[in-house]
Amino acid sequence: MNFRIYDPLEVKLLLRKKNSILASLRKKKLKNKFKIAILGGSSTEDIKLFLEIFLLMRDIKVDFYESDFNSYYEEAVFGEGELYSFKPDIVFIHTTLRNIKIPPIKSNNECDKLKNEILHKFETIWSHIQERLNCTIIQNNIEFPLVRSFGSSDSSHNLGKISLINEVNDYIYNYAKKHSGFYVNDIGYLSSYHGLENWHHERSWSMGKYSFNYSLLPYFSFNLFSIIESIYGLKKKVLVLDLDNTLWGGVIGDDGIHNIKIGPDDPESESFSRFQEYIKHIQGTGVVLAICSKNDMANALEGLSHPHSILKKKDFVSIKANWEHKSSNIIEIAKELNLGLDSFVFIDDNPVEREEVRNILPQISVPEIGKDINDYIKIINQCNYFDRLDWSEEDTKRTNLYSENLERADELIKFVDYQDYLESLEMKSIVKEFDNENFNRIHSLINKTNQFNLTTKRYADSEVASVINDNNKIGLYGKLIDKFGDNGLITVMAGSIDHKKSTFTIDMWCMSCRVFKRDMEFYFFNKIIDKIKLHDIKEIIGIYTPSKKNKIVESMYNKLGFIEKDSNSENQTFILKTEDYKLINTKIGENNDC
Amino acid sequence: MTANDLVEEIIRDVTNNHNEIISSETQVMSIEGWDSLAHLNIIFAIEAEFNLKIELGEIENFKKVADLLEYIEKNT
Repeated sequence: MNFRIYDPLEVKLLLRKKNSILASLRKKKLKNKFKIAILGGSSTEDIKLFLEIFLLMRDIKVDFYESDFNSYYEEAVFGEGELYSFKPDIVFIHTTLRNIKIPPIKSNNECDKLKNEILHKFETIWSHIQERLNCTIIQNNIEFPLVRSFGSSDSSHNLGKISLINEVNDYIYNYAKKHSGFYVNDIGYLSSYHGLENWHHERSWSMGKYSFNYSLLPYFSFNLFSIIESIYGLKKKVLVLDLDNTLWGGVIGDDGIHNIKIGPDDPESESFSRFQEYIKHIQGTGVVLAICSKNDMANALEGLSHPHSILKKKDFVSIKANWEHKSSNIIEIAKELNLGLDSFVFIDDNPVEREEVRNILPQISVPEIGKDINDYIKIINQCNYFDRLDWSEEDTKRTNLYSENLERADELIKFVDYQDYLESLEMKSIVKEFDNENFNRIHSLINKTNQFNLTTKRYADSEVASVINDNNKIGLYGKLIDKFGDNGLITVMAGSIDHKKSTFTIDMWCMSCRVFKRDMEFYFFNKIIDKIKLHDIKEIIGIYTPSKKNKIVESMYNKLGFIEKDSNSENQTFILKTEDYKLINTKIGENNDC
Repeated sequence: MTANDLVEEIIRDVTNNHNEIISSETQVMSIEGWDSLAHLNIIFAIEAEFNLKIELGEIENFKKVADLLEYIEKNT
């Protein structure tokens, strides 16, 4: 591909060239990753087409199933069509206002009856799918109508359409809160963002049976794509920022601390403050911040010490202020944080710097943020880099976790012997079986880890839940604490027991890159062996599935004493007799409090 | 690029038809890949490129490529 289609979305290009873009993307050689079924209450053909384009751009190949036109209810509830034999990983239910018939209502009773009918219909669909498929569901909420019956009081009047839609939406949100693996595609937001007058579009309905303006389809599918990216843990983790004319107006090295534009004094300064506030919000969702600026370090730090700068030195896990190429600095940051470049976003006001980084590091997202500071937030927001489906307390602590790692690196310099260094860290760990208390963190670790990930498998919520509930499955997690701080829950493993053969197969094993080279994997495996022995297991089967990113664990099973049994182009299989396993010494002690 | 060339490019892009000979006398519905959805897409693209707002009633009158070109010439 020699053109950009997102960062931000090139909607006109996508609408015009969709067929040739898709044809060229389909030439990529990719393994089938998962299956999506689309149940439509109106046309879905090009929703699917754009979704496929975005997924292929991200190297994800998908098999699709589309229901017959407007047969979403029949297929989900009565099993018509091939939905259930297709066995999708994700079902997307594309219902909109067009599928909710609201006749003129004369009484509160009639209104309640109608509302209950609508809710009952939805819940019947969801429960049938969840019972029979155990898969992830994405459901549209309902957008507002263009026309109101009661005018302004439509939202507060019992019989108002908007009031009814709000109640149905609340019901959808509550269902999402209570059911894991159920997510809302927020077309309420999308339709307000683009304007209801633009969203509702009779010509798109009459000519193509699309329930909203056909020219907004790329935005719609991109939103859906972002949800799917989040489900599979592919969202961005690091935001790298330039300083001059990005975090403040002016050039600190030339203008001096008193003349850079930040704070409440004039409209331009206020705009930069607003941008910093936005960045602070993004950080709050668990994204870590770094700086990459062509500046002297002293000037960079002086700028951040400006009394009106909302972002301070401590907000950044890495600050690169020098005169090297920005791409080289970003590579350094990625090494320090031990994170893949494809989880990085780089923001710079200078198009030349953006182009340099984009050319050298095509994996990084470098949005075209425009020339006006007032556009930055809007454009970055439209790129959906940081969408998050679940969120745990741990996410807010992430900046601290990485800063502590930098302190640990300083400590390492003091020691000549690595084992002495490990000893000095005073590490303590706890290993336990999967529990509901740590559900979100377990799920997100499995879906975010690319490097220490033996089988590269991703687990949907329902799969994590099945490890907890199924007696033939074992899932263990490990936490690690040391003298610099709590690293939190940093490793997970799950597998299944075959009682007849007395074997245990490790289906998934991940560890966060935060704790590489601490021997945590050996400590963890010692504990795995202890647990497995309780089930009278004679042999453990380990599988390594090579990927672009998990080379670091290619000899993991050899190190643990496994013997290679079988290998093909996709997997290598290893076997270990439990009685042959020799415990490996580490500098980690047991702690039941962390 | 002339209006004729641009319209032809739009038609080829949307229908993904890069071989067939398209002239101003070509019946639009006979072009391979031109269905009702492609029709809608082409109208959208023409509206965007030529900064036009084409009325629903007009759309049904576009039988030949020449009808489109004539409409564009009259309204831009």
